[in-house]
Amino acid sequence: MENLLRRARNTVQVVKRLSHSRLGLIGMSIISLWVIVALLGPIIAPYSPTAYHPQDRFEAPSLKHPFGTDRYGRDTFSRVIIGSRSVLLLASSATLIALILGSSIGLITGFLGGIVDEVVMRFMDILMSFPALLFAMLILGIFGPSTFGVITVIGLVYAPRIARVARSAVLEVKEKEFIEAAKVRGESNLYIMFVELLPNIWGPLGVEASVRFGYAIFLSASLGFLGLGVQPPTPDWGLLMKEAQSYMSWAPWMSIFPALAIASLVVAVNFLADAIRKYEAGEL
Amino acid sequence: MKKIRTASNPILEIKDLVVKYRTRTGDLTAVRGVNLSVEKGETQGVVGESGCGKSTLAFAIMGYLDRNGRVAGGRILLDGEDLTDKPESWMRGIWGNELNIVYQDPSAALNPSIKIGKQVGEVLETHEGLAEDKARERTVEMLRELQISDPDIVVDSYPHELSGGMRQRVCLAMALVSHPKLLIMDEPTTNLDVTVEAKILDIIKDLKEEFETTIIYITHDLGVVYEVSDRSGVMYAGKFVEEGPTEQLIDRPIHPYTRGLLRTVPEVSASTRKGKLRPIEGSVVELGDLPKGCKFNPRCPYREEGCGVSEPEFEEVEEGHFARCYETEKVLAEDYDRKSSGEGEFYETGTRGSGKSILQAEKVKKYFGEVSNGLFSFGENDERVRAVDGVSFGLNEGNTLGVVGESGCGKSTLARTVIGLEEITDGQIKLEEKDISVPIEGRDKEILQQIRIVFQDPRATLNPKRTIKQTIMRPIKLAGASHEEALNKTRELLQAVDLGSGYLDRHPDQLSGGQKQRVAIARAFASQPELILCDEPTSSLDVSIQSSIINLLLDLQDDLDTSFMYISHNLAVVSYISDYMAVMYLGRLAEVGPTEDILTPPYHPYTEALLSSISVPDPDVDQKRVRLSGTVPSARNVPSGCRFHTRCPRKVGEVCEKEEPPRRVDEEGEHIIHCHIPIEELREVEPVLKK
Repeated sequence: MENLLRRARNTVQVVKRLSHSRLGLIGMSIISLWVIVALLGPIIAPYSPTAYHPQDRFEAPSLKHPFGTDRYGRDTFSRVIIGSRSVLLLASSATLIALILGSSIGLITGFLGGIVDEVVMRFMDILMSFPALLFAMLILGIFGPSTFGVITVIGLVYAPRIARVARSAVLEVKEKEFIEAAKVRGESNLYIMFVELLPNIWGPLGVEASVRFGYAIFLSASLGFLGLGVQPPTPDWGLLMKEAQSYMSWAPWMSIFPALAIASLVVAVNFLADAIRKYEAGEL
Repeated sequence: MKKIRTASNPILEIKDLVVKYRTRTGDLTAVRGVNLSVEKGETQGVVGESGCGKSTLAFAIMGYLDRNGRVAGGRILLDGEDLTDKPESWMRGIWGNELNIVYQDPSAALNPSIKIGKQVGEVLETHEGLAEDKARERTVEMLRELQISDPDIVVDSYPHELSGGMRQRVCLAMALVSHPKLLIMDEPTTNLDVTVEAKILDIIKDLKEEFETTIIYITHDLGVVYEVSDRSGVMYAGKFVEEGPTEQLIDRPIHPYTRGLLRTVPEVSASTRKGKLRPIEGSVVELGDLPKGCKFNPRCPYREEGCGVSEPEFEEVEEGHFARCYETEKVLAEDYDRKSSGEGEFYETGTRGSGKSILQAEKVKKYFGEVSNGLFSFGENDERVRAVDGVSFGLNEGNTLGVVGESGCGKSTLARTVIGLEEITDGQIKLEEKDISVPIEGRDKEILQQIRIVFQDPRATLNPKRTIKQTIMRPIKLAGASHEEALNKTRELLQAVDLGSGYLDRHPDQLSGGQKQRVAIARAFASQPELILCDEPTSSLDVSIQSSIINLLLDLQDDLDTSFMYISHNLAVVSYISDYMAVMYLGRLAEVGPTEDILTPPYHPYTEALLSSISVPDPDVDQKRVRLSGTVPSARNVPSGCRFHTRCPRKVGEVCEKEEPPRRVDEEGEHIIHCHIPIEELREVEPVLKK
């Protein structure tokens, strides 16, 4: 209990620090806004995102439909609001997978070194040499598009990058004398890796994960746009863009608003990532 | 009464200098009103422990303060010109020319990708407009002046091709080549081995005579100040507490802080009866939390009620000798006893423990790297690093074996091989008759619990993410104790290292360096080991903390009959703490024996040189001068015969180059010297240190 309280206090402290940077504050505000929007979803959406209104097709933004409507007369405003759910869910679970996978790989290779390190890291290099989007398309092309597939693929794509960061952090920390002290008292490798080392590399991992989160939003939207992600009629920002593509010239609102939504979230995440980096470097 | 000394011909005058740093929690005043006047051609020593403001003072003079630092008051006059209000563009004109600084770390001060000649010559080209070839000529001349052999080769070398001592000489050359009005030296020899330090100090002494350079010499080492400076000031909490002619200041210190500091350095003494060291009470004050009145009063043994009310003025107590203290009369009435160890609680070396053998090392070898049997190599091409090359010794229960030697002599590798962090290449190590010549992975649980190590760097020795409780409890639990038992034991241990239960839930970043080292010691003792390896445990600490840590180690050893292998480059500390001493050179033992025999003739010539290199801040001690040439050769390519022959001042002749030195045993049987010179001859050598 006391531990939890201290954790909470620490978190508040960190957030306070991050908000010392103006960009960090803007980033956090926009992200919180989107998180609230996603959580409240149906409560603030004026219409059902999937409800057809044949009489209101291709309507320009108005008080009734702030972001206009699409070819079935669905309310773009409501679709963008509900669409925030899938993008946040996809990107955050994918980042989490990448983080867990990547940091474990980095910890093991960095700590053990030698032949394990060589083999695993060269394999990671191969994975990283594919362009992220191409790699994701390839996998989803083989296994067929699905939400679960998108999450796994994005996780796999970014895990090697996180592994590399984790590994270099481990290489630095493992030379410290407290690690040798642990070896001297006969601790197992697992204990040293996860109890002694891991807590000391959260900093660089956090920075890398926040950057990857931004990329993950982009990648998930891209996959949605290519039709490899969330399937219609579920609203998804990438999917919204895809549907709007053909009507760009006479119904530009259909693409502008989802595009702005994506951009705002990605930029906000990058602002936050930058603030986290500064915090870790002791500049905040 | 005069408040400060006024030099008749001052190069540098500092008046009421105040330097502040902006921090998250508000302004921190690092220098709180310093007055100083330095005569032309004089060397002014500035001494103090870490955090007393001595480096800030140097940076303020240079105009090198960090972005969050500023001169908040006072003036710095260099030859009459006030430096505090000058813009950087103006300062640039005198940096490297009239005003210069030499840092602690020569490798950071030199550009690794520019040849030495170019770096030193640049100063002359920029400031004196010399042509490149002329500048090169002057550079070579200057390098020769600094006793660098083959200056023609050195000018065309890159910094990484030179040893640490050579690099520092190059830095000195760079600083002196333009004949600066003022040269600041900020701990220039702190990172160097004693033998190299002694030579550099000799050079500095010669050069200041020759060039009449005005020097401010900053150091924490009173012995060094005693060697080089004409006048010295002792800083505490951002102000001078005492300032005067060095001889007087060392011989008759006035301020209680100076008196305490001088005492904290253990003296090298061959006596077997040792009293407890006398550390200064408490620890250095935090700049953000200064006590009222005299800043030293909470730690002062002469403290009176008035001391905590207002800060005393800086006053001339004897001619030209100033101190900031209310109780000077009381202090001066007491004869100064400079002995580092007090009366009472003596322990006698050589008589401790049961005599049971704990550790036996037989011809231990540790080589790094592989023998290369390349397709094109002819014959044997063994380029392995022979870090430890056939070392034998024994250690009994409750005793301490001290290992000394210059850096690169293999003393740390020896310890790491004993504890199993390095895999032994050849030889045998036995712990209480059990063979432990295997690395950690091959040792069973009981053996692992019997050996512990205390490391040098207090910042790296504790896991920053774990609480003190977690850190100390872990080894106790590993030994099979329940949570309750472990917690109780942890409390006891914290008590034993003078920290108390209040520290249980703290994290390492809330502790000072000395406190971290105390926790590391508690952790080492937690599994009740037979043997603790101490690898320079006090080398990163301030001297006043060093003596309290040593006292702590000795107390715990006395209670628990633990054996220590104590590794340090500091001969004074090792000679104080050890029953037996081993002097290592390039992977081999030069000499091993009871401490009192090591410190008196017969000496191994290397031991003699080491003893002669240490700086002793004591006017009553007469020190013989022996200097070694060059540095420790590479362990990859060791000299043939006696490994010390390339530097030995007592080299006999060809036999030293060709044949391994014989193992000579002193008549009492415990003192072993590896040297071609017979023991009888070595016995005739004059002692290095005489009272």
